[in-house]
Amino acid sequence: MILAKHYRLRLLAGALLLASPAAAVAQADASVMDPAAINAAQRMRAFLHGLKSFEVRADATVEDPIDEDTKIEVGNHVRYDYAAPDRLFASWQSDQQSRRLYYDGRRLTLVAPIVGYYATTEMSGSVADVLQRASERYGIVFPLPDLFMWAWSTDPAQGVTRARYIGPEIIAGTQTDHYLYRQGDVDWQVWIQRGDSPYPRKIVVTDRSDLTRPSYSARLQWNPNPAFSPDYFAFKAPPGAGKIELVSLAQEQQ
Amino acid sequence: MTRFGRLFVGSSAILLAGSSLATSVDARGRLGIHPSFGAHGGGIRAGGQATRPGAGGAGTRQTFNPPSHQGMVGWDQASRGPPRPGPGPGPRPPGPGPHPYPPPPPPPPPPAWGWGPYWNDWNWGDDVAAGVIAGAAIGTAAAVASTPTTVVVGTVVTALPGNCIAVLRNGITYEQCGPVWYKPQYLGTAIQYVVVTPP
Repeated sequence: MILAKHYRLRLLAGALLLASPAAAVAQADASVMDPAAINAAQRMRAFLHGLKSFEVRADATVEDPIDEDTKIEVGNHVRYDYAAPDRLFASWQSDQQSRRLYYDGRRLTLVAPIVGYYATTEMSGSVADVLQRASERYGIVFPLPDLFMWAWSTDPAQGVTRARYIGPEIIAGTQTDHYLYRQGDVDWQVWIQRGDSPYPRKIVVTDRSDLTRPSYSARLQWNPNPAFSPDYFAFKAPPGAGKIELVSLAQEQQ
Repeated sequence: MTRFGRLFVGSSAILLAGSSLATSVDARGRLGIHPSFGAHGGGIRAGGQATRPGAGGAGTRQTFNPPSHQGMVGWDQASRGPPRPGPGPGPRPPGPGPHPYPPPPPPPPPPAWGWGPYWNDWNWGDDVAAGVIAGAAIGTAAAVASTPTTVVVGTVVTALPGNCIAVLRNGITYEQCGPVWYKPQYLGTAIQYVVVTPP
């Protein structure tokens, strides 16, 4: 789908922010690798890791190359409701599609609310593990999985070749600091909120391997410590909903 | 797809296993997602909504919105957008004499998060390539207009032809479109339909 490649783009770029500062700084001079920029990313990561629950909304645009020198822009809205360690509700709407994902610690359910189909599969584990397994087994990729990958993955990244502080900016009335990072073919910009809560308020990921340099750009809005009722994350099929199946990628490729 | 093949190869932190993952999902997922480019295969669009039979009288997207999520936890007020300024001094009938009207109150500052009002407007046009299931209740395989061509079992499409009825068999939903039976599936988050032998 149009958006799928950009999810992968951002999964790769998300790993960038897990780079250990020492290894990264050793590679290049300070004008290219700003230790403060590396530290800011680490601080944000630690902060996200410490959140027990949150609700985040993203107003995103995705640039999709439709041929060698043309790209179009598609908008979408994403919402994640998360409760540590294994509860997730994700909702994603664009002009083309509307999808929801429910994970209650035991089952993962993918829903197309307007078309009227849902599919469910048994799964357990942390949210980050489940999202990764869902993408590997079924190709289910939702926007901004990096929010979870940043905070909960332990995979070290390498190849960060640039980390730079751009300057202070105001996003939606909030003072943030704008940073730029580069890892391989991906440029990643984050606007990190100042103060005690270093939330990412805006993210722009640019794919430099494509001539049109397509970007994924998302403005984020956070609600910390929301109160979720116990059954909030469990999907209950409404009458008339059609149960269908998830295609396993392994069997698809045979 | 090849560009992302290169991206995967060149990048050292690979969180997903297998670049072929991207290829197959992208290739299939691309089909039918474009809102106005692809052909819809004759699916009837009832006002841009795709409704399911047997979804009760509502038959709309509200059916699938669990009550616990409608409040948009924590943002009930915010999601309705900034409060609008009051009516202010509108035109008045001519008064007893000229005097300056007080200036209208300044508009309130936008809320810190900025984009509330249209957050909930995205309630339409899901999967326009999926076609519309028109009218009949689940479980009844009524006689329908025949589809002229026979389709090979195993064919995968991203849009249903017209006149399809949803049928439940063994807990799984199928779509019967004339003599052809389709099995809807998720491939990643895209929906596709596979022609199957009648279950």
